[in-house]
Amino acid sequence: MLIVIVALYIIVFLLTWLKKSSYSWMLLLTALLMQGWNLVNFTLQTHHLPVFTPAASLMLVAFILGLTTFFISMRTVTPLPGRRWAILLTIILLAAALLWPQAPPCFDYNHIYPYAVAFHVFRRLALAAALFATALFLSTFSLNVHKVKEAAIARHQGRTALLAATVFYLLSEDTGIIWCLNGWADVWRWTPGFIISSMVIMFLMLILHLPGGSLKNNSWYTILGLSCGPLMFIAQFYKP
Amino acid sequence: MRVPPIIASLRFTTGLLTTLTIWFAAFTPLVRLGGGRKIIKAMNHGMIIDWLRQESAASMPMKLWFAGLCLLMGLLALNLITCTWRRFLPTLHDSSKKWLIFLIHLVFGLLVLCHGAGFFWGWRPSPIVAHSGETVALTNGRQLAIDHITFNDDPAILAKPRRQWTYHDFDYRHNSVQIHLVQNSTMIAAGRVATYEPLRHGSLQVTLLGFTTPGQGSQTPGVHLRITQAPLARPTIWLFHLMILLTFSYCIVTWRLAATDRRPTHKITENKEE
Repeated sequence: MLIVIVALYIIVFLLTWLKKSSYSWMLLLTALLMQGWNLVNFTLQTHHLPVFTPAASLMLVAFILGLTTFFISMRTVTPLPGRRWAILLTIILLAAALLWPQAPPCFDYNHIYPYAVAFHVFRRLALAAALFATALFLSTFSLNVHKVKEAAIARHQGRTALLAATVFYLLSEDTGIIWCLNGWADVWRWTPGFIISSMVIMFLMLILHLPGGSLKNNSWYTILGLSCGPLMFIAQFYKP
Repeated sequence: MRVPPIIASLRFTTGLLTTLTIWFAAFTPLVRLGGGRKIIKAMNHGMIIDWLRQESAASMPMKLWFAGLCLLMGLLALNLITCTWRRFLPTLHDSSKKWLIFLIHLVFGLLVLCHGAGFFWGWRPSPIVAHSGETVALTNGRQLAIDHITFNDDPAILAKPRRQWTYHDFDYRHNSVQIHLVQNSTMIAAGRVATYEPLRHGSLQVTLLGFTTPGQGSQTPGVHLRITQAPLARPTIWLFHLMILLTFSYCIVTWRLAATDRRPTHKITENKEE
């Protein structure tokens, strides 16, 4: 079913590129319904949410990104800048989920502990928001040439998406430290996982503190803003 | 004492945050060079101040890294205080957005202070392994007694690695230990401790880390426990909740680009930026 979903997204991407919006909405909705069904099935079979294994997490992040693109596009009168990029990123996530080495089925009691579940859910939400910001920042490169005002709006929207990613990431940290306190008697542990989380927070703070912010046509702001999504992706999925 | 203007500048902030990002990224390679899991275990074994006092050549790179982290956080704190004094406080009357930014930075500063102080203030002896009926002597004149261990699942699963457990093998909610903690013959805490349900008495916490295989001549597993005292753990968590709430509020307040901001951008001069 995942291959069919990827194929649908590729068609949506091509239709969006050719500016055939009405057809692409119906196909996007179909793809989202199929993804949702896939994820519900996964949850029922494994007795836990699809946030603990890389392949399932990638499918969930792709679903959230697709859903965000769909709903925000529906609300805007003018075409959402970055819509094509968001759909392309969704295709990349689904392809990664398809190609990721399948882990053997595993159940751990953390999978039903509410704070552990919340930690992982918020992490995936943060990644989806950061990747949505990446799509918006990517769109500013083409907008900057002819549509300066639209580029400024897209940069601001990207910044708002990054703020949303920050809120979700902080929520994951919050639930994570409660999980750690209840499970290991401390709010902090000196481990690569905790340090990498802090690194991501520092990076988010860095982008939000760049002089001039999103209003200035600052290529550093755009480059750092769009790299937050890939950085968060690597932080969550790369295990050396 | 006059603080140089650079200390209160946004460029200094971004420079520090860039350095901190790279500094945090250097942790994992340093751990690998310094001996891997042994270093991490040593850092997490007790209070960080005890780890710093240990004489070990293997952990010297990590100690230098930690010292660098403290220095960078100290500079960030200085930058935060000077920025608050010179940039935020004079503009508080402008709008609610400025108040939100001020509060976010204030709470962030308190959070980092609490978190940092928590590494040096508290009590954190080594974890203990005990069986039913045993009494373990701790530091500070304290004793922990294991009254009764309840293990409703099959103890044989404890011999298997956790990644091989299935959905029905272990339910963390149904297994627990009854303990009481005594100091100088006075009972200070008593009750049930389960996985993710520690026993708390003020800032004192008894946490069940896990179960061990049954001892000789017994069917009941042993327990792996940790007793800690962290006065700043709860305030840190509450400050974190507050910071998230303020950041969310700021996100909502600045969601829409203001009408005055929608005009085409132009190059901002150096004076205006500062």
